[in-house]
Amino acid sequence: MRLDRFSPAARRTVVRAGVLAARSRHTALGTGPLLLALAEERPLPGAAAPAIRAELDVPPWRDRELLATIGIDLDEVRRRAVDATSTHPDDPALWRLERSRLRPLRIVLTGPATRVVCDEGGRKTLEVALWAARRGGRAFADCDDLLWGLLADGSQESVRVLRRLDADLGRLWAGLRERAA
Amino acid sequence: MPTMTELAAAADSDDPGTGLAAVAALRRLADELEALHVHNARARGWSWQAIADALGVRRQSVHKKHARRSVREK
Repeated sequence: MRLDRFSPAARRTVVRAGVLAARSRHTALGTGPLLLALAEERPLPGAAAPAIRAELDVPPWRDRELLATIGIDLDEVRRRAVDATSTHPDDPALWRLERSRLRPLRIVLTGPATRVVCDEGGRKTLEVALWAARRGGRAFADCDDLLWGLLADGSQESVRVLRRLDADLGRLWAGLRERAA
Repeated sequence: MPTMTELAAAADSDDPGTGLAAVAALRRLADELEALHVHNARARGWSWQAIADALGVRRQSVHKKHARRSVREK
């Protein structure tokens, strides 16, 4: 399992999901953050990112506010670091996705100040995405392949959230099947 | 976006919980900055030993933390 098996947009989605999971103080990367990250990357019919965020009850990120209490301007520090290094913390080049050699069901996403283990749903999503890409003869799993993974198991949080939002799951599936045909 | 002064005023700095959470946020920021600067140093051809010396840590520590990521960049 490697991040470079995903297309640039899918890589950004996985990295963003890791950031969202870490900011929520989740120790695991599940289908919820992956769904939200995907909706931020590309439109999902009937499921806008703000609505998904509200359904997931993502807690507010407080680092900017907390650092201000000790005199640190997070945005200014980041701006200077990005200027000096020409690299952004969310740059997928700084992230890696690895399957444990000794525990093959354990997949870990690590990046700057972030380390999250995929839970069962997150792992299945990534595995199904790579399977869908292989099945479609694509070298890289893209965002549609990630969506396939997020829809594959009806018991996962991603599908439950989409149902609560009344998103048209049939339409989403139809789009994926049409592409696969 | 609120200004830094407004953000600072919004938090109660007398609260130990806020102070501790600020320290944790500072650690996360330091880790983030380290990753950016190590990536930049490697891109400029710095050795792991030179990076470790600059960070004040052992070469093995910095290599273990960042090496695989840097290999993939190539």
